Amino acid sequence: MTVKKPVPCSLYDLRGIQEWLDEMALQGLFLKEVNRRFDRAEFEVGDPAPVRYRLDPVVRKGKENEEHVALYAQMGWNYVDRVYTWYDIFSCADPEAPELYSDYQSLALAMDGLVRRDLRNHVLLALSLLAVLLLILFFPTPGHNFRNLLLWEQPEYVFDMVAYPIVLVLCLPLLVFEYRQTQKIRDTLAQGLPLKAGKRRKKLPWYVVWALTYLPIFLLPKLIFPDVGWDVCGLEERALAHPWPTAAQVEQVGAHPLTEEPVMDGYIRYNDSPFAPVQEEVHRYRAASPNYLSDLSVTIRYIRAGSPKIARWLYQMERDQEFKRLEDRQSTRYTYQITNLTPFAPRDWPGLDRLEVTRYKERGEDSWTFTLLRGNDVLLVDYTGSVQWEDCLPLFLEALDT
Amino acid sequence: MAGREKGPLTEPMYYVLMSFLGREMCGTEITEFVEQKTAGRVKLGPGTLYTLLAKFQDEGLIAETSVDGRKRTYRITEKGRDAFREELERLRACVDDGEESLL
Repeated sequence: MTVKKPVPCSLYDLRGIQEWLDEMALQGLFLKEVNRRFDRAEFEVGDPAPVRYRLDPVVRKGKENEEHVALYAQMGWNYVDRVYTWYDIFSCADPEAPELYSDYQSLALAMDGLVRRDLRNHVLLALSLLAVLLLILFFPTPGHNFRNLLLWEQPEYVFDMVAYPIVLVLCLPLLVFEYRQTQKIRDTLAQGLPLKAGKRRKKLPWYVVWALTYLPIFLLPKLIFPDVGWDVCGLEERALAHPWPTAAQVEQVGAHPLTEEPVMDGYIRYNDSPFAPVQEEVHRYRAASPNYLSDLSVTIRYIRAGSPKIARWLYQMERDQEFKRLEDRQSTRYTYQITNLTPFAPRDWPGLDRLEVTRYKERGEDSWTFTLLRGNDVLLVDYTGSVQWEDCLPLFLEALDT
Repeated sequence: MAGREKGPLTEPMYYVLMSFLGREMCGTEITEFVEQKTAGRVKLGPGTLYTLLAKFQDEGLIAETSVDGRKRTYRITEKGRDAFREELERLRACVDDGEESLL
């Protein structure tokens, strides 16, 4: 018959663990095994007997270790189980047999290998945590995370970006503390001093610890924050921040005004954040085309930032992202491929802080994109049609003033 | 004399190293030798014995001479002898100092 009991000692309390196991034996409970997390131990029930349990630092591997286990057995000490990769537990029922370690210094020597391995593992773990931290902060680019923070496009990810580093930074002192504990055991023994048994405590079950940490840190934000900050609606369903010109209105200022109002399709994407309280993106394209890659299309992305400084950051980020998107479209072979892409070129225009324009061809049609910055406003317009950007920019500036 | 560079030997270290002075020995023979030599005062535990053997091997004080199944036999090296002599001299000096102070 076996019984399971929670282990009341910490992994760093060598003497406490040994004393507890010895006491259990005197109550007729003989250790059979410990679980992987070292929070529960299984005992064989028998007649109470003074059996000694001792922990032996694991410094040997494989065959060499097996050999030692056999040699220990010859001297009265039998292998019971292993605690992590740290200690082997041996038991001895012969009261005449010498202690597993007959002096503290030799146990300190055995601990030395464990301390070195522990240091190496902790350094590797700390480096891995730092690598994860850097990955979270700078992947795919530092700008991506910053943009996400300003625009609140993926709120859940923003929370992760803050929560993960905090958790990781808190883990580092814990690693140092753990390493210091092992070192302290070694140093105490090396001085020929006995270890003191720590206080026995009832440990929380692993699932309670897991729930207490995982739920508030990782699960709760997923329930509170949405995956995507943006909302989407039809063209007529939302009043826009400014009366942006339609594709037909844009065409009217060109060399080939439309004779009749085209049927346009499209949608509005909108969002807000403390840093950019107004964000809207309007896609309009000539209806009846299989997708928005129409011979006539206009996409307006407008951001009103919380301050001119934030607007400057957002302007640069939006321009860079737009150019990357165009470059990607240039390198693809699909129907939305563009050709003849030119870099964004700065232009002067009265009243604007910045204005940059790029040109390209989309399915043979002349197309352009301009990005402009004026105070707190950032505006980006993609256009495919017959009108030149210089001709229709006043229309957009007029809308911006309205 | 180039003996052990890592400080004085502990009592179990001293007797384990001493056990090899006469001949090559395996683990159980060392335990018996030490117990006999010290009239049961020093009893080597298996953990202590095999930790010290590994340590002495690492430091080049002893060398493995044969392996027969699980039985491994070791011999002392010149460096080991030097280390033992050094320790002996140190202990003699300690004893002499003590006796001198008592007089």
